[in-house]
Amino acid sequence: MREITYRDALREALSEEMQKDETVFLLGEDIGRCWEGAFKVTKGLAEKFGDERVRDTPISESAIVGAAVGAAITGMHPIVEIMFGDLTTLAMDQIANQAAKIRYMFGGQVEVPLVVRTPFGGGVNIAAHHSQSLEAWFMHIPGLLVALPSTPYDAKGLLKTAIRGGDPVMFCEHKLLYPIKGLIPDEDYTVPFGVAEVRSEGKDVTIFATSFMIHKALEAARMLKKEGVSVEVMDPRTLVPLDKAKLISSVQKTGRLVIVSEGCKTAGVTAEIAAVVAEEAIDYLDAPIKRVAEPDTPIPFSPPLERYVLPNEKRIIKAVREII
Amino acid sequence: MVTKLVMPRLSLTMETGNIIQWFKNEGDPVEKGEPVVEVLSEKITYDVESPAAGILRKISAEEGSDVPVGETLAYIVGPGEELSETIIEPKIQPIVQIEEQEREEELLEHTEVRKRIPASPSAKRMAREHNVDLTQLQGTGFGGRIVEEDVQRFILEKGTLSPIVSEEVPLIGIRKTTAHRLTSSFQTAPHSFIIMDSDMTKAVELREKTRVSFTAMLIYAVAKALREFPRANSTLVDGKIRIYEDINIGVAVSTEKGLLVPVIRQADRLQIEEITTALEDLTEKTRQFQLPKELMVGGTFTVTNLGMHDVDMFLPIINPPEAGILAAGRIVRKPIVEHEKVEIKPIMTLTLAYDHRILDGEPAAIFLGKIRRIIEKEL
Repeated sequence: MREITYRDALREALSEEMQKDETVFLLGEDIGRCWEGAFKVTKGLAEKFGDERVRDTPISESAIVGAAVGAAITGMHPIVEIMFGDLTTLAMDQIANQAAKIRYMFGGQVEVPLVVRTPFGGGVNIAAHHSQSLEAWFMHIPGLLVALPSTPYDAKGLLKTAIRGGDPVMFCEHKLLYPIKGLIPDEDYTVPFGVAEVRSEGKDVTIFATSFMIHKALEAARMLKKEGVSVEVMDPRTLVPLDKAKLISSVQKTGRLVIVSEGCKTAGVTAEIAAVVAEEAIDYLDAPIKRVAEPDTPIPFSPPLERYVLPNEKRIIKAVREII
Repeated sequence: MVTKLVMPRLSLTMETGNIIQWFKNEGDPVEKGEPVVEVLSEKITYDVESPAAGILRKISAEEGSDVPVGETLAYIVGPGEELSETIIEPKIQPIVQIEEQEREEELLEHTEVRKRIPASPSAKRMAREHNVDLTQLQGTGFGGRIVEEDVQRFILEKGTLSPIVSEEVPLIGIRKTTAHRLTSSFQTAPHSFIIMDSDMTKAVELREKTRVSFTAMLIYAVAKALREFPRANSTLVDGKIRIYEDINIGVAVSTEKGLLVPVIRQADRLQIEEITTALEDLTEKTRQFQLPKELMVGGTFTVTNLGMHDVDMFLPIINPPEAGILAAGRIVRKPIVEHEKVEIKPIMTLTLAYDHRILDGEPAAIFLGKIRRIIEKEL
C-alpha cells in the first residue's frame, strides 16, 4: 500500500490504462505539455505518451465530446477532460443526445466507450460559473453512467472500470478532493460500479453522502459520536448504477436517513435518493428523511456567502439532531 | 382573523364526539374562553370554549351529530370580518351514514381502521407485526412521535396486547363465499330453532338390514315432509316467497377447502336406497372437486348431519335464501319413559332452523313433527 493524492491516483489510472491499451487516449483543453491540465491531473502524460495521445483541443466542449464520441464508436477509448463541470453544459447535446443514446439507437450494435472526466463542486471561491455540481443532470439521462469517487482509492479504481467499460461514463471529480491523500494498493485493481461503501458503521442514523461531502459527513459523524449518536456513513461511489440494496439495508438498520450532496436541492441527487427510500423502505423509517444540499441559488462569489450556501458538517449535524 | 373551532380530543382513544347543544347561534359574539358548544365523548360531556374573541359563523355540525376529532365545528371571525367561501370546509356528514355505507365491505374484508396516530412508519410496521395498539404508547421521537424503539420497549415491558399472529389466511374462494353467504343469512334471516328427539329404532334396524345411510334417511324424510309443507320448500328473495315444485335437497359436505352443499334433485321421487347411492357419489365427487356445477346449485332445502362426530345437537345457519335447514346430531341410546316404563332407545336430536319471515313457529313445529314421524314410522 502507498499513500498518494486523489490527483495522483487519477493520473496513475490514466497512465496505466494508456500503457496497457493503445486505443486509450486523452483530449481536452490545456491538458498537454504546456499546461498539463487546470488541476494537473495529466501532468507528465504528454511527455510519456506523446501529443497524439494527450491532445490539446480548441476551446469548444461540444467539439471535444463530439470528436470523442466519434472515436469511441470506431473502437477507440477516449477520455475527455472538461476543465470545469459547469462547462459540460456546452457539450450537453453530444453527451445526452449522442453518447447516451447511440448504443440504443443502433440496436446495441455499437458501444460508446467514452469517459468524460470533470471537476465539480464549490469551496474555492471561483463563483457561479465554476462551482456547480451538475451530476443530477446526468442521472436523468438513461444511457449515462455516473461515478463520483470520494477517495484516492476509488478515484483510481472507478476510473479504470470506467475506461475498460463499453458505456459513456460521466466521471465527476471534485476540486477540493485533488490534494487529499489516501492509501492504494501497489497492484492493479478496479472498483466496480454500483457497489456502495460504508465509510463508517453506525446504528442510529444513515448519512448518505457523495463526493467531497463524504468527508463532511465523516466529520459530522465523529462529532456526533461524542454526543453518543452512532452514525452510518454511506458512499454510493456511483449514482448510476445506484446500490439501492445497501442503501435500503442501512436504512432498515438505522430507521433514519440524512442525504447530503452538493448541487441544488430541487430535483437534485438528494431528491432522487429520498424518493427511492420513500418508495422502497418507508416502513423502516422512524423519522422524516432530511436533505442537506445547496439552496436553489447560484453559487456566490463572496466567500462568506459561498460558505453559507455550501453544505457543511454543521448543517449535517443539525439535520441529524432534528430527527434523532 | 378567522379561527376554527374544532372537535377536541377528550381522551386518548376518542375518535368522534357528539354535539349535544350549541350555546351560541351563528352571528352571536363570543369571548375567548367562553363555552360555545357542549360535546359528548364516550366518557364525558365537555363544554368547548371559544379559542378566540369574535363572531360565531358557519356552524357546520348539527346538534346530535357525531363529528371526528379535529374536524371544524364553526368559525370565529373578527368584528366586521366576513368568512371567505374558499376556506369553508364541506359540511360534515353524520358519521353514522358513512359507517353504514362501509359496513358491508368491512364485513367481508379486513380493513384497517384509519386513525391518525403520531407514529413513524417504522413504528407502525412493528406495531402491525406484533399486534401492538399504538394508542397505548407515549412517543419519544421527534415531535413526540412514537418511534420503533418505543414499540420495542413496550413489547419488552408489557408484552403485546393481543396474541402474535402466526399466519394470516386471506378469505378467498370457498371460504370467502361461505363467509359472505352465511353472514348475509345470519344477519337478514331471523333464525328460529325447533328441537325434537326422534326415536331411531326403525332407522337403526333398516341400517343394519340394508346399509342405507342415516343421512339418506333424513333426506328421504325431509323430502317427503316437504311435499306436505310446500311453504317450507321455498326461498325469500326481494320481498317474495317463492315456493318450489321441485324438492331439491342440499347436503352439507365438508371438504379440505371448506363447506360445499351439493344438491340431490327431486329427492321426493327417490327411494332411500337411491338416495344413499346418489349421496355417496355426490360426496365423493364433491371432495374431489369434480362435481359438475349444476349439482351445486338449485337447492330448496338443506340437511346437515354432524352425528358422526358425536355431536348431540347443534344450531345451524340457514343456507340462504332457503326457508330452513335440518341439523341432525348423533344417535345415542337413552332411557325413555313410555307407558310408565323406562325403555332404552336409540335417540337422535333433530334441530330445524327456519326463517321466521317465511314460517311461523306452529307450522314449523308441525313440519318437524312430520319429519320425525316419517323417520320413526314410515321409512
